[in-house]
Amino acid sequence: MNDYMTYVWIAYGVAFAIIAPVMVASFLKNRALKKRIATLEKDGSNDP
Amino acid sequence: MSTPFSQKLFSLANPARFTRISRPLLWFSSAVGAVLLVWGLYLALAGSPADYLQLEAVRIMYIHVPAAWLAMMIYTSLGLAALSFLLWKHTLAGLYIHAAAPLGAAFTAVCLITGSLWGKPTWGAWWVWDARLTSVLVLFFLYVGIMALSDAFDNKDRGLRAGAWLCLIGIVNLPVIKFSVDWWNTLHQPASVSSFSRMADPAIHEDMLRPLLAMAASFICIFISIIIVRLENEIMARRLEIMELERTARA
Repeated sequence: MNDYMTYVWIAYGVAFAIIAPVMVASFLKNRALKKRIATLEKDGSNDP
Repeated sequence: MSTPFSQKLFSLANPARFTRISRPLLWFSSAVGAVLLVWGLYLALAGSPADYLQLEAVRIMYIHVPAAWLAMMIYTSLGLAALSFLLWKHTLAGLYIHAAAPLGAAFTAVCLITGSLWGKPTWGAWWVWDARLTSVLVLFFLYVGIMALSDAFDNKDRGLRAGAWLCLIGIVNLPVIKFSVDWWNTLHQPASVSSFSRMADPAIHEDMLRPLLAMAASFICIFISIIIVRLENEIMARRLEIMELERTARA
């Protein structure tokens, strides 16, 4: 172990901080879109 | 001119068919990616030796290099998608450009920032205007440009066409990135693994090659998982637009 490990932890942290939000946002948007489509389909089927 | 193979390939570009095959592929790539990531992180942070010169700083390589490979792979795939979209007007190829460009930008940002964090302890500088670093920065700007152009028009297809043209123009930057370390005198080291001459005999010890390849494979699986979800989002967003138009027309 030496001072260089600080650079290593920051590098891994930055990589995680960039990729994880992109991943989570994509999955959340997927869920929201599926819900919206399901609601619209349900509304459509209730139309006279 | 169509062969059975090209017909099969083109049939996969159908959004409805894509949606059917995407779910099993998503579960598979996510599971494999998670296992490889855990194993790769263990090897990268604890299970591999420190370098005799760079000491522990060498561990940054295990995320910097896979991010750089992926940034270039994504751009290559964008170029192919752009060609397919402009020549054959494949809807899925256009949607792929819109879905993959932010991911390419994210992995290029990881490559640039981790490179900078690796440069400080090894070169003594956060950044140098060296051919490799500058051409990767240009790659990042290309991704940002594609994202901006794709969303710059009211007509979505027009925006995708403009983004696709920029993808094709930017392809010229890929050989510059790849061969910049051979064409010019740079601070950046030449390829240790990813050149044809180095593939059979990598200039890196197997104890370091193993975590590097594990992390690269996990990054690819993570990319496949995210791109599947983002493509599904693009398809659903288009479907939602049509449904809302129909709903408005009915009201």
